[in-house]
Amino acid sequence: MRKKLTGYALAVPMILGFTLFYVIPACIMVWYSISFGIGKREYVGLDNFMELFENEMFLLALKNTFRFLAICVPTIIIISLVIALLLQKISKHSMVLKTVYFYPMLMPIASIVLLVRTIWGEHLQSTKAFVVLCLLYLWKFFGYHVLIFFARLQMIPCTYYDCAELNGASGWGKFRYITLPFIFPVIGFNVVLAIMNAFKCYREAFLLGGEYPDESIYLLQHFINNHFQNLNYQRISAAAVLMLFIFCSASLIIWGFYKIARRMSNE
Amino acid sequence: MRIMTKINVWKAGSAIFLMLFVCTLVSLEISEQLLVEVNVTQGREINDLEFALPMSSLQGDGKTVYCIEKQKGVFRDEYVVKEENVSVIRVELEDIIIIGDSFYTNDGVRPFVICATSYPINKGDIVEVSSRKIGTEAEEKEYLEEQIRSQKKILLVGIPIAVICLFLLYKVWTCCVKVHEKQWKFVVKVIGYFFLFVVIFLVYGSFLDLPREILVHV
Amino acid sequence: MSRKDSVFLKIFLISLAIIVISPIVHMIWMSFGAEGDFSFQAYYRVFLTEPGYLVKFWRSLLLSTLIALGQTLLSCITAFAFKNYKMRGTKVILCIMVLFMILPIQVTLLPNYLLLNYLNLLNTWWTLLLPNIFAPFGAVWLTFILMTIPKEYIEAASLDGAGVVTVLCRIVVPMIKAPLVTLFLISFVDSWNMVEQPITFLQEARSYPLSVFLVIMNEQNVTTQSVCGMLCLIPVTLLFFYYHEEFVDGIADAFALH
Repeated sequence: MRKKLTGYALAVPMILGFTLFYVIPACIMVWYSISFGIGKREYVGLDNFMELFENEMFLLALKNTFRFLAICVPTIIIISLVIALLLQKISKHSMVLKTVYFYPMLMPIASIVLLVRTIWGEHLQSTKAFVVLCLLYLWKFFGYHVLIFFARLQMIPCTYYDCAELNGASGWGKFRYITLPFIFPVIGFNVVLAIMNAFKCYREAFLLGGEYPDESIYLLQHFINNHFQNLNYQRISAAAVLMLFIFCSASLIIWGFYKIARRMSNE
Repeated sequence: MRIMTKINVWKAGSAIFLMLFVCTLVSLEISEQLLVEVNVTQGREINDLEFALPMSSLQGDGKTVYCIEKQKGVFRDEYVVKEENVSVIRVELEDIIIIGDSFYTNDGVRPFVICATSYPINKGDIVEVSSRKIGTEAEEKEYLEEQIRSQKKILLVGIPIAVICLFLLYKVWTCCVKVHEKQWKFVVKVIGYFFLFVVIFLVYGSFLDLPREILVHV
Repeated sequence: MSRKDSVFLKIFLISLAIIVISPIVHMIWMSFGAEGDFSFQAYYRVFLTEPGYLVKFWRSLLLSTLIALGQTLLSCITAFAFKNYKMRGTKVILCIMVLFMILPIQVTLLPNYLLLNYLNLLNTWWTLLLPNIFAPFGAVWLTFILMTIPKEYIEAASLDGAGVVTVLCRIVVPMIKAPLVTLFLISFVDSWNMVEQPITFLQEARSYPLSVFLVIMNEQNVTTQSVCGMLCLIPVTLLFFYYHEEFVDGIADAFALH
């Protein structure tokens, strides 16, 4: 009995704080998204969501966000996997190189923005802004994934590779049958982290393009931010709840895949 | 990597933070010294509608005067220069007469008008109100030179500091002599002594009351 | 792997490293005078004449350190509580925390603003401290790490009569030292670079931390901005160089042991 009480006592501060600053705001937001009115709010149902889907800017933002995710996340995973494999072949200076690759994640954004404006200033007002944003995202976060992949690759025992060489396996064969199954769980983590970081890239888009950037990099968070200024709570809440819902379902899908993969590897 | 050991990073970090701390203190000192001194006045009331201000407070175009306003600064309250429009009625000897009711601040208090500055100022500058009577340009120049001359007495304080610097130079010299023994440690030691030099120089420099020209036109 | 291949590989990786570092080099170069004349004027102005920059630097440093320390300690205690004591609802709470961990900040920014307005905490530093200290990332990460520690250590210690605090300090913390340091580093970097929260929650431009100030500083003076950027880089770089081995080990522990 006493054990349980100490457990509760230890966990309570964090749970209280988390509820206060994350769960309660989420509940407030859900309430705002299904109600309408200035002053007194009354239940309106899904009208806000309907209105949202008819809003052009929201659809544009949604399309841009999905396009950004669909292009950038696989790219960064493949690139960092390739670089981690290459780094494995050099054992001497790999620590220094890993440190260097990780460094862009620590840089303050304003200086990067300055440089990007100097080099690619004129492209930022055209559709090429999307390419610039993608490059910025890749540059900033690939070191993180390289580190993770490298750590996991180090755990594969050499004997597997030696056995495979003795049996005459080619490079691609070694990769497919030894490396890939080992890395598979970590790819899931990396995808989640890459999505998290992709949403953090809103900061760069905001600093490069301002509040109303070019059409190709108008992200969901731009939408939310702009309506923040005119205190249009309904739209913001509806958009935010929609994002929450998308994340929920995405997490469930990924978790489902993970379970299936586990079950398959156990068989 | 050999260079990036914990001890070296700790040493470098401590040196950098010490320098930043000293720079903070010195910059507080220097920013205070860079403030332009001004004389202010509230004017003399003639009757209900008119009051007199000195001629020197009227700016070049004849329609504006500079006033000061309090605002919150980094650590204490500061005085900022603001522009106000005035309409001159007549000129009497050394004074200008203006209509009162267009010139009051929100609380009904007459604002403080700048009548003399030791250096040309613009709108938005931060100034320091001083009770010393500021004279013409020539008088100001002589005052500055007098200040520089009086600093020479403080140079006496520099003697123990010169002794410390000579001691540090001697240490650096012995390090140079033994350079063949441990390369990296030698470089780190020399860099460390250089930092000590710079810190002492900064601390010493902040004690002097350098005149404005030197500080602004470095 | 033949020698020639190895050399090509090295050249490729090193040139990649140079490309990665080039913005920093550009920034350092710009801070010495972009118009062509090499001068220390910007350094003189930022470091020695206007105390505003350095005062903001110290304040941001204090803020980031407090946030990082708070988050690390709280996450440690919470993860220990989750893992060690069988409590109902732990899994549910963990799932909710994982969900909120992935969400971007914009989603909870507006309701947080309203809530903090209601609590009368806007415009003070508590608005920046509190939501960041209770961030779920740390608790989730450390819970997963603690799953790798066998229960026997803790049970043996409590059989020997150790209280909760002793078990925590003497046994658990030394075992997860690398992930704790990683969490501190990530938390520090996140709070050092935060931009949206101060802009939304703080209304006086005077109290902005250094990262925000760098963003809203007007761009007429590129050299001053570069010097401020370098000032911004210093604590993060030093911290990272000091702890880079623990950091790599922490990440390896987290993702390699599942």
